[in-house]
Amino acid sequence: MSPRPAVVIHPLVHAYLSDLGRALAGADPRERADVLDGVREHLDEALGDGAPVETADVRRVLADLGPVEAIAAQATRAELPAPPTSSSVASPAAVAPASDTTSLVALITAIVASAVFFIPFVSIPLAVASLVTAAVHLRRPGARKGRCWAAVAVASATLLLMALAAALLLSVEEVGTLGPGTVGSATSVTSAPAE
Amino acid sequence: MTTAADSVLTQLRKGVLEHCVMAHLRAEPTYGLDLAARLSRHKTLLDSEGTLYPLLARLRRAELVETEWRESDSGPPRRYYRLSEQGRQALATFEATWEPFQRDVRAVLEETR
Repeated sequence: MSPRPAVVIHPLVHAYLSDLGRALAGADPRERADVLDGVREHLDEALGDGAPVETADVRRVLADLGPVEAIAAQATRAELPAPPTSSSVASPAAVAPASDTTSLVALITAIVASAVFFIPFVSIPLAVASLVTAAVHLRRPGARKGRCWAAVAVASATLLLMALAAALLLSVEEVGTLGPGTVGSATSVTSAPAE
Repeated sequence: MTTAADSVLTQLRKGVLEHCVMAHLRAEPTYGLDLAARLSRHKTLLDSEGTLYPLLARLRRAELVETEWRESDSGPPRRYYRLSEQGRQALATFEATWEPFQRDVRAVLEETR
């Protein structure tokens, strides 16, 4: 037999991992990645890497892992409102992140987006990314709400101003095409700030 | 037939199973499949091996468990889970609390029988 590539994924394994990924859609993103990695390594280890495996063996290993819904049910929800309930230091669920870097990153991204407004193809994606991140992050427990709102405000303002600027430019161009005599002046208007 | 018992087990496992995982890591670091196999020998603790992984992810996030990659004789490197100093303390606290707790539960059940 010819040497086979290192990664040969049994279709059942592939389907199981896809189902698990979907079942974990609402889970905390870092936990989701950790769980998928853990289960994937478990399967690699149990079935051997790249070696041909019997479908019956695959079914047994997957049955031992259990239904993907059962696994996902144990994962922390991304939007879980989890106030630290008691003084249970031993409970890992009660340990909240001390600092909130996501909101800070979202805010900095929003500020950068507004600073580079003159490069729309950089500014718009940054502003959208910041807006989405901050809006999603607002629902997380322990999120710095003030920072998130600031990021939402700055990103929205940037996008709004750019939309206005685009509308303005379009109307100027339209005036230019409508009135043949004004082409020269319209061009000079748009190019004037660049000089 | 076991639905009622299952829901009791689900409740009882909360706050307990994670300490059983930590206890398994007390002596030496272990990789996922080995840990799953050891835990699932006790069916009341772990019936679906996959549920171990969200639990490990949470322990890791809470810095009670750390991970490291180690070479394996029989395949690609393995991710080993190791009990952190914080985890060791949490386990000691659990153990000290668990003994009187299970004694009290048993006493109540026997007294009221």
